[in-house]
Amino acid sequence: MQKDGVTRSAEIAYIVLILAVAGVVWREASMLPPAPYDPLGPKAFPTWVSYALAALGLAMLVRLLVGHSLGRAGQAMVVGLDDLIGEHEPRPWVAVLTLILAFAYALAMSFRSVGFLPATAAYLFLSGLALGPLERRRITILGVFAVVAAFTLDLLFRRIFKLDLT
Amino acid sequence: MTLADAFVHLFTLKAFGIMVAGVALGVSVGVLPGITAGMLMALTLPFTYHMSSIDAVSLLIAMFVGGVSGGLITATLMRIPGEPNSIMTCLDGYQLARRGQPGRALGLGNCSSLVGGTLSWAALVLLAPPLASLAVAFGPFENFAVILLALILISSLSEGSFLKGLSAGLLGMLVSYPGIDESSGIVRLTFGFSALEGGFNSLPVIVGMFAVSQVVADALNIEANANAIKTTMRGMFMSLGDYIVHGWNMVRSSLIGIWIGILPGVGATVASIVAYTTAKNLSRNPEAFGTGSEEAIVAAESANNATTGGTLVPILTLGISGGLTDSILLGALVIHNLQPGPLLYKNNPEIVNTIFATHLVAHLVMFALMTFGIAFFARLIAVPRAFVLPMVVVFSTLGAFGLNSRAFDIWVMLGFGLLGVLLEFAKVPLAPFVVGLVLAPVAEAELRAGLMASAGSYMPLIERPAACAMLVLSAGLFVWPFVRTWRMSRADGYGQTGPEPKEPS
Repeated sequence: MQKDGVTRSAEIAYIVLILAVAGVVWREASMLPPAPYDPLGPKAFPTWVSYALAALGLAMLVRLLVGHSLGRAGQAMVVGLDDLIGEHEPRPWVAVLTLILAFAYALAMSFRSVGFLPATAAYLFLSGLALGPLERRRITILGVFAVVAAFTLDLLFRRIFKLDLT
Repeated sequence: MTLADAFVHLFTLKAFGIMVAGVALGVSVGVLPGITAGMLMALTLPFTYHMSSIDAVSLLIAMFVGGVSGGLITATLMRIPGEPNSIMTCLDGYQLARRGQPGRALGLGNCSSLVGGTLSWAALVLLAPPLASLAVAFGPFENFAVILLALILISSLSEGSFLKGLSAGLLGMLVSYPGIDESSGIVRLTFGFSALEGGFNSLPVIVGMFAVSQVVADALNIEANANAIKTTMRGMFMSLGDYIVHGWNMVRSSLIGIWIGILPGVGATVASIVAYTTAKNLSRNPEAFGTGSEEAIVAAESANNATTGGTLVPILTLGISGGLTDSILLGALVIHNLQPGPLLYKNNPEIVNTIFATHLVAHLVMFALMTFGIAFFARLIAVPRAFVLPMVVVFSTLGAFGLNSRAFDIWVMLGFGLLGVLLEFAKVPLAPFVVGLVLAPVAEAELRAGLMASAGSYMPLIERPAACAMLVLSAGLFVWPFVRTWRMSRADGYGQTGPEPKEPS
């Protein structure tokens, strides 16, 4: 039941998203100039696709409003959500924390203020902590793993592959 | 490069090393619950940028084959599908393993995988060239109609909602449009962001959609654990008698897998379910299914490996993909400036022959690795996800950044990761999104080329028989899900409110 509620909320968010994307793309495409020697022009495809997407979004919205199911992808492309929920307690806050840490890592990589090696070591350590119980032995192993992995990745990508990482 | 040359090349030290590494990585991620071959391939794509096209294609095919096969180990020893397509193996493989025969269960699955893979290779080599020579006669209007058909097929045949599938495909198409329009040179859909003038690179989009959403899904289910049954190499080989007993089941299930593999959007999971059900219906001992039946393991594993050859047929003959992993393969070809489809045979026969050769040799390598390395791969199940998942994010970030050394691509990757999470929660299939993303620019270019040749007339879409037939088929496939839903709801309505039939007097 709770799972259906999550799916329903996500479906509404998805419909809102595609209607918004269709609207924004249509508006932006309508302002494009025609191309003199091109029978199609740069705006034809974006406009057609945004019309079709809006129509599908509205169709889904109507189906939801009249109480019909939208159906679901029977085989989730990502293993996890479908196969495992029900056999254990899901941990939404762990998922949120994982996402927050991923964004923090991206931030550190974007602004290059911290440096690749310390940022990676810190990210691996903190994410590892978030994903498991806080036991002293585990924390020690995680710390060693984070430092060794960060040094290895630094050697591999910065020194060997010559990626522009600071 | 002929097929024989491709085999010779594959046995050079570097090429063979790349292929073995690909299979080993594929099997490893297949073993790790929650990490899929599709994700591995998406993560690997940025790093193939620095490789030759032949090596890159060989690596990805090897990963594809390894990934499809590796799920068998987790399904048998843990009753958790390491890959979605191992779901049917969970039912009987685990039961047989629990009865003290884990080696036997794995051996049956492994040998069946080899047979299924080898038969699908034969089908690929025999079917793809004649189909491609037919498709090479297609003009731009036919090519446009094929892409339209592919998009509608994958939306209507994917399990789940047609509306969701098609909308995901259209969303993928829209993501491909920002940037400079190649024909007119006009910058479009950048919304004032100069970083968007080059468009969204498909790599960070694909990596984000699959890798980041996967990490979030796994973090959500981090408590899901199970104890694995221990195993050794004992019983890993099938005897001649076993092949005689299970031979027809293997061939039948492989044919099912090959056929379902060719159909866009259906995939290995459905193939293993259909083969399992068919084997059960035709079995003399159907009650044994679900309790550790050898027939069941053979059917499921032959079928899911047999899809590997089938899924490559539409890529090589029509330049369209129907599922997740083959969409990533299609994307890889495009990234390496190769045009998937019939022209690949003419322009880059070395790539086609590399695909053929790798597909077969990778199955042999997979068989050897899984047989002799079973104890090692079984231990991988115990690797904590707290170590694996953060590494996936680091590799995704490095892959996105390494492409052009642009921080923008990292944010694109994360943004599309969030979109992937939303789609996953809303039960929207991800494969149509990737198909739309990869094929939309091709569709636009083909229609534009056709219109230029016809002085702006759309009539050839109707006048040319092949294009018209595909448009009619697309229209039929588009309308059919609505008709089916309407008929079902009408039948339900009668069932609930209609008058009771009178008893015959």
